Amino acid sequence: MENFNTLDNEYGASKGTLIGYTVGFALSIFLTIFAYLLVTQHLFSTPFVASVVMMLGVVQLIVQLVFFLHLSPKSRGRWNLLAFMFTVIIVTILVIGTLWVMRNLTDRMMLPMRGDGSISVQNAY
Amino acid sequence: MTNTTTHNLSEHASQNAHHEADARTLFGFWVYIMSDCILFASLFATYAVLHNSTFGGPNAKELFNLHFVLIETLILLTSSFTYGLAMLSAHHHKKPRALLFLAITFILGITFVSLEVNEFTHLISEGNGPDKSAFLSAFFTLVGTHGLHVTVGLMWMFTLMAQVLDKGLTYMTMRKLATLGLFWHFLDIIWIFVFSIVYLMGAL
Repeated sequence: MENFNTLDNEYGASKGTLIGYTVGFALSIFLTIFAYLLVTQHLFSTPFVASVVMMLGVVQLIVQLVFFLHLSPKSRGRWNLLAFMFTVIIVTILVIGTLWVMRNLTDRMMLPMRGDGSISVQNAY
Repeated sequence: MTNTTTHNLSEHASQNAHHEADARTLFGFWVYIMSDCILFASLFATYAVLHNSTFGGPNAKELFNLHFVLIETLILLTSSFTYGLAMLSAHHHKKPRALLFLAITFILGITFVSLEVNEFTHLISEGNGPDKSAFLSAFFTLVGTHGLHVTVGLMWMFTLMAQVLDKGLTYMTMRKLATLGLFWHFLDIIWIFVFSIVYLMGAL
């Protein structure tokens, strides 16, 4: 009989408890429905809702990383965490850099943006 | 006495070797997932740049039914949870229960993909396919790539269920279960961002 009990403690990636999964599940359902209600109920101004939705998305990411993917600075999981942090840096540069460059490109074209759907700079990308 | 000790030692060494191999596989797969994150990041960046380029066609607010997408999201979140329960059952050597939870996860995954295909065919039949505007090209590429990942994950899950049924919960199948678990939870995280950025922000 092979013994898997030690497996739980060995890998950051494969261990989990019923309580952990349940808490993670409840939190992610709550965060999802909260974000949905914020957008559909129109109680607050659009920029405020947009920033809160993005924040809820990031909180949701952390909840899932901790409760489902069991990312932690402990033992072997540390390398997973390091690789993840490196990815976060690359993704940030990629996304912010793209938006920055494309925004500048649009601004420098200095062509009027037409709202009637005819071809304009916005549509030309 | 000496024999028992040697036996225990070699068993211990063999378990350690298994753990080393498992840890390497899981870390290697984690690195793949991280590179997949970068693929999705470029698709998200593309979508963010193009989401206003509707070329006279409908925008996100006019196209998407948030209620429908919320149900899709809840289904995928639940499937992540049931996969976790399958992993727990497997760790406790409860093969029938692990298979049951895998089957539930599989059905939830199939439901998710069917809903997405339904949404896509509905959009295309109304003339709002990926060729309509840059916004829709970016939308179909981003959401379609995620859907493709889920479909591959489902095929993998199906073959893994057959392996568990056939071979039981061995070191090999346990390792594969852990690897697929990483993949499945990762797809859940990507979908959270699709839901927040494409659907929720689009509806504002």
